[in-house]
Order: sequence, then C-alpha cells, then structure tokens
Amino acid sequence: MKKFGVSVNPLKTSPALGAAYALQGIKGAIALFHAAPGCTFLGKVLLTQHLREPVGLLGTDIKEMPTIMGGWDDLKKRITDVCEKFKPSLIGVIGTALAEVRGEDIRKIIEDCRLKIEDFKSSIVNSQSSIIYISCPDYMGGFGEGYAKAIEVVIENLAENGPVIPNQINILPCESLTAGDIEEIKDIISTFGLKPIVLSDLSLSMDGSKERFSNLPLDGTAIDEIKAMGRSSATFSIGEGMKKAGEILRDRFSIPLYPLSLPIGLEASDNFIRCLMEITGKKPSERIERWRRKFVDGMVDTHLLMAGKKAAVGLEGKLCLGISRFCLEMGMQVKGARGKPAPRIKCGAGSASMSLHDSSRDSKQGGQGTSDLEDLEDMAEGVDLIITNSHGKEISERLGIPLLRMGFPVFDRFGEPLKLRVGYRGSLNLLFEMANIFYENRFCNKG
Amino acid sequence: MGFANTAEILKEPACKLNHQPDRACERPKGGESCAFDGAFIVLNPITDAAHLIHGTIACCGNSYEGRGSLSSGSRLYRYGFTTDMTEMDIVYGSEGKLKEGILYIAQRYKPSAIFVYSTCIPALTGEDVETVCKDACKKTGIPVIPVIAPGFLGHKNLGNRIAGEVLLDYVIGTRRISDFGFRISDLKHTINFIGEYNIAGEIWDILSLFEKIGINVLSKITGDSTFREITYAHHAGLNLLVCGRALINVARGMEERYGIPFREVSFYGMKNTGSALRETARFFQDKNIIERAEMVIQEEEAFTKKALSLYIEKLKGKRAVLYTGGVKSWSIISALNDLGIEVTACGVKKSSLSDIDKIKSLIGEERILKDVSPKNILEAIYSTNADILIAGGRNQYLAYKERIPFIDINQERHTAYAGYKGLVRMAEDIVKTIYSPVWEIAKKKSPWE
Repeated sequence: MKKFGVSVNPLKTSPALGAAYALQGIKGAIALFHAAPGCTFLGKVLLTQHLREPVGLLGTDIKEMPTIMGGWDDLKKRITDVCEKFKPSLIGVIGTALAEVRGEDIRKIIEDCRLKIEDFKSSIVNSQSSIIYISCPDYMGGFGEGYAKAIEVVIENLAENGPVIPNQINILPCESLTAGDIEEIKDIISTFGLKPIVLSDLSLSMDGSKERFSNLPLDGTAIDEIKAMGRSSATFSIGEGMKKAGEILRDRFSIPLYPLSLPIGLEASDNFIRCLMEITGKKPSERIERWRRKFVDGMVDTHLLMAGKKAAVGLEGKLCLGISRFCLEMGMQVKGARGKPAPRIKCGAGSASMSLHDSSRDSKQGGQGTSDLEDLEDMAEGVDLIITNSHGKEISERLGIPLLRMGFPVFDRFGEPLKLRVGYRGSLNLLFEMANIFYENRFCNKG
Repeated sequence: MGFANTAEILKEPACKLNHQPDRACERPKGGESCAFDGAFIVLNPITDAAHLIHGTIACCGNSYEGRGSLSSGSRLYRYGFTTDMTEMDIVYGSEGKLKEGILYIAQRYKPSAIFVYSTCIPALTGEDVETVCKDACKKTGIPVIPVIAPGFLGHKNLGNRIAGEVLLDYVIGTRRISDFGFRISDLKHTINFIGEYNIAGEIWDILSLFEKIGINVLSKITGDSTFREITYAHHAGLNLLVCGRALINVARGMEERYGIPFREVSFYGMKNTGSALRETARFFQDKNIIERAEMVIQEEEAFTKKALSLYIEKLKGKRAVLYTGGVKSWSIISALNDLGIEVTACGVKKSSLSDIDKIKSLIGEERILKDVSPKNILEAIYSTNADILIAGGRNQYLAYKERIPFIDINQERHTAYAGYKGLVRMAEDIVKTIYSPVWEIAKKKSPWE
C-alpha cells in the first residue's frame, strides 16, 4: 500500500523545540516562543519530561486577533516583561510556524524593544539582555535543524573579533550529544592542554547539578565565553548539521574548522583523537590510550554475540548515522529510518562501509517520503533490536523485540541526559549495553 | 462547526459564571495549553479511532503519547498520525494530501472512525477540512470527523468544549443500540460518564463499584471508550459529569436533545465517592439498587479505613499546598481532609469562579493563592510550613529542586487516585514522599563543606 500524505508515529519533533533546547545550555538564557499557547505548553512539558529539570521556555500565547492583525504588541510586551522579571542574559525569540506564516516582522519588533529598553534603562536593571531572533517555523526541518539554527544565530549575534587566544578552541556539539557526552568531550580535550568553549554547554546546566529552582539555566556557556569564541584558535563541529555554525566562525574570524562526525565507535573516535593530535602536536594521555585498549578488548569479547545481529535504527539525523556506523563496525546489520527529508541508510550487511541513498519509495514520492516509526516497524520484523526514542515502546511490545532507547524524547527512562556514548569510554558503555540485551535473550529454556 | 461558534461555546448556559455580568466562561490567561490540545485531550481516549492531526509537526510530534489515558482494548489511539505540513503544503494547499492521508489510514489501520484535527496553520491558510472529511467519509464508509480547533482560538478549556460540540454533533446519537443486537428494554439503570479520561486507569476502579451496585455504565465519554459505545450514549438514563467545567456542554446538550438529566460528581476521596454512588443510586428510585449502594459504600469504607490505618497516623496534621489543573481543587481538598491533611494554600488560577467559591468555603479565603508563579508557590510553602506540594507535572521539578516532597495530581500522573482504592494509593504516595530518607540525605553537608 502506498503511503502518501501522512506521517505515522513521527520521529520528528519541532525545530522550535530544538532551538529552545539549545538555549538551555547558555547561562541565564531564556527561550521565548512567538506562538499560540499550545506550542509553548506542550514543548515545555516534553522538554521537562526528557531533561527532568526546570526548563526556561516562555511564550507570547497569541490568540485570534494577533494571529490575524499581527502580534506586535504581544511580543513587545512579553519581551519587556521577561527582561524586567527574569533579567536574562539572552532572550531567544523563536518564530514558530504561526508567526512565520503570517509574516510577522520579528526583527523589527526586537529592534523596537531594544530602543525601548534603552529608554527605560533606569527601571530595568539588566538592560544588557541580548535579544536575538531565531526563525524556526515548524514546516522546515526538525529538532536538529532548529538546534543548529539557534547556535548559528547566537554565534552570528554575539561572537566578537579580537586577538587569538592560543589553546582556546570552540566545540559545537550537535543536539544528539547528552550532558554526559559533552562532559566527556571536554575532559578529553582538556587532557591535550586545550581550553574548550562549548556552545551550548548542557553538561553544566542540564546535568542535575542545579540545587535550587530557577527558570533560567544557572550555569552553562557564559555570554562572555560566546563573545570570546571569535578569538579561538580552532573550531570543532561535532555532528554533520553543526558545520554551518562552524563556517560562520571560519568565514568571519578565520578560525580553522574541523567538522567531525559523532565520535561513536572506533573509527569515529579515532578520528576525533587524531584531529586533536594534529592541532596540538601532542600524543593523547595514558588514560585515553588505556580506554582505547579497553574498548577494543570489549569489541573482541562481545564480537560473537554482536555479529550478524540485526538492528532497526529510528533516530533523527546525526545520531542515526553515528549509531549505524557503530553497529556496522561490530558486524551487525542495520535497517534505518530517520526524520524526513534526510536520505536513508542502506542495509549494509556486515560491510564496514556504509552507503547512503534515497530509497526508491522516497524518490517515487518526489522526495516527500516520510520516514517515521511506521516505516521502522515495517522493516523491524525479525530484527534483534530496535533503537529509537521512547515512542518505540509500543512497537517493541507489538513485535516482541527489545528496545534500546536514545535520541529525543526519552521520557520513560531515568538518566538519559547523563548517558555517555561518545569516545572510547562512551562507545564501550554503549557496546556493553547493547551486548547485554542480546545476552539476556540468548539462553532461554524451551517453552 | 466553524469559528463563528467560538463565542457561543464560551457562553455556556449551564455554567453559572455566565449569569454574572461581564464574565464569560473563559479562563484566566497564561501558562496553559491551547484549544487544539484541549480538544485532543477529550477525544484521544477513544481507543479504536485514529486521531489525525492536520498541521505542522509540532502539534503531533511534540505531544503524541504524552497523555496518561489508558486502554483495555485497542491501542490505535496512541498512534501519532499527522500530515506534517511542509512549506509547499502551505503555499499550494494540502487538502489533497490530507485526503490521501485519511484514505491511507482507513485502509491500513481499519479504525472505527477518524478524527481530523485542524490546527493553526491550515486554519490560517484557509483549508476546507470539513469538505475533505465529508468526501473521505463517503469514500471510506467510516465516520471521518472534522475537529476545527486551531490553537490560537484560545485555551485548553475552549478546546475541551469544541470537542464536546463535536461529540454532540457527529457521534452521540448516530447509532441505536438495537443496531448492535441489544434491545432497548434490556437497558436498566444505565449511566454515562462524561469527562473522565481514564488517567492511570482511574476509570477501572470506579467501574467496579457501579458494577457491584448493579448500575450499568453504557458509555464512557471518553476514557477507555470505543467509538461505538459513544454513538449510542443517548440511551442512558443518567449522565455523570466527572470533570465539571470541561464537558458541561455535552451534559447540557444531551439533556436538551435526549432528555437525559445529569449530575455533577467527583470520585476523589471517601466522602465524594460515597455521595456520588448514593446520588446515582437514588436517581433510579429502585429500592434494591439503593440498598446495594449503601452496602457497597459501607463495605468499601470499612475496607478503605482498614487499608488507610497504615498511613493515617503518619499523615495526621500534615500540611499541603495544592495547585491542580484539570482535576477540581475542591474535590482533592476533600480527599486530603479524609486523610487528615490540612490544605494551607490552594492555587486557583485554573479554577472557575464557582470552584473558587467552593474552595473558599472549605479552606477559607485567606488561603486562596491567585498568583501561581513558581516564586509565589514556594513562598506559600515556606510561609505556611507546608510538608508537601501537590500539583501538576510542570511543578514537579520546582518542588524537587527545592527539596520539597511532591506528588503529581494532573493528567501526566502515573498513579490512579480516584475512588476508594485510589484514596489509599494517594495516602501511600504522600507517606512515601514525605517520609522518604532522601530529604535528610539531600540536606547533609558534603565532606568539604
């Protein structure tokens, strides 16, 4: 039966939500949706369920009249209110589909607000709040695209020129990296004697270390650090979608850019370390060497259990690639689905190289093919493991196939934001987690 | 039903508020969900229907499987169906796409009906969802029902009512019970639930009580329901309106159209549950039923008191700050009083005026909390020396971050708190959180402090 016009159990979440997620890693930042009330409410609920932390997300809650006549006043009032009440370091005004379809001139409104805030400097303590406009209509892209867009806009608006700071490097992690992953990457980079500035640094704000309630992230990348990003000696973008943000830094401030894929698995982790060795001219620390040995040892220990196992991977964008590569390295077979309109991953039966192509169905539909969890379910018949977000639970139950949860959202497991899956150490974690699932199902009594 | 009716829906005649000058049934502003979400919450628990969200990705992608309604049958309602509108759809229109989508769902999933939710963007670009539904209905032979509830129309409460109107216009009364091989004369002592969504399985505890008494629940609107059972809901003798304001228009509409009276009841706490059972039983004026109801109440209360004895000592004199959303605050206050817990402050932002009056009479005016910003909630907890915050999931991490015991009372909750068994669970959870050793540990100084 040909599927057209509908996405069933979508993998995608909204780009506006991805932008809001990015802002959670910036110290004192707040996301402001210019949208109907539900966009903000449902988004906040989902982010809170995933992160299990208070989340800084507000909205203009526009109704019929502003939808038709324009929401200038609502947005202006909300921006000034937010400045006064929360004194944020940064307000990210996120234009959602409703405002963008109407064609709201948000840039102009923000300009007006800036002037107004200047006027009332005395009454508003923090007149230094930066206000930026992130256009993230829901009809373009998904969570990852929104996240990347927010990082690009933040860099465009805040990074400043200046003398180069040697040893300072920019890290632009994609949305798939958890707080745990980011912490590991920072640790690894520090062992090379480098000082990383991470944008955005969820490992400081969304790791559970906050000890009192606050609407805003109490920690994370500081505004001054973002400003100083224009003076770094190199930029690492991690995950394919983050390259553009790195290019802005490269084009504006001539900072060399090293675009990396997610360091999951041996080859990708090696690439990451090799890159660090190149720019520092140093050898990795003994600890990193040992972790590599441990990871390879783990690969050998588990290889018999892993080889030939089939996994159905349903994840958005970069994580899908990273996890699929990892599985292929272990001799597994991968079937994949990812949020549209990205290309599909071909089943790479046992080969270590992987090819990407548009599946025939996608091209038949003129590139409109939705890749959703229904597609995943259709191809998951007979596989040994399903890897997707919490929405995979129903599929896993229907097919009786174990589920490994990751990606966004994961709302029915504790600890997802702290999961570590990158680098040698993280890959080993992931390997053992996966292997133990297979182990569990290996010896079963008859009947 | 188009947008023109919005104002009329807000002026619900059965709602007492509307008899006050300048005060429609609309809610106070801010921090709430939209009309689409409100409509979805009401209709989504119809388990064997497909719920297709026509709009951009956020409406479905950010919310499906997010509500806690449980099913004893079909799981189709948990599927997230969306047209996932793109830029091209906005420019060129997506009515054709929507129709294809409906046909695909009908063919592959064989739903009992398809609800098509029109959200902000198609409403803004002016898509004729109603006509698409009509055509698709003819083609598929199953009901395809338009739910015109773009988020910008208003808040959740308005969406609840829109869904109510949809139920009245497109579902209730469309089939007769005789169509399904039952005789109307078989129907004795039948009731419907209106506004109970089977969050965490609450409806199952309540159903068993009515079963014991001998009162038959014909249709559940809509928790754990099938589309079919709602189509013949108009055969029932009495409607029980469980979540007051949300679906009052359905209760009133059924009274007007089919002459079915309704009673407002609550199943939170022993007193409320008892009087709900008693009132329902008395309605049927059957001595047998009334006697059996009294017996069930007596039995259940004895059982509950025994089960509660484990907790009641520990709960005596405890103080709670309460801020509920969908669930009526006053009925929770009554449940907490059953447990010996004093409510020291109660947020009323989401309550209607008549609810607020009831709350005032229960706890006194000075304990009403109008401003429910996180800061104000915290202040209320600290200034009244409260032991626990009882609120919705969104305030969970407010409490946890401040190291305050907490239980979740809103629609995302995982535990059923209604009926007698629910009250025991509530007591157990409150004891568990208040007496957890974790609060002491969290306050302990680290070795370096």
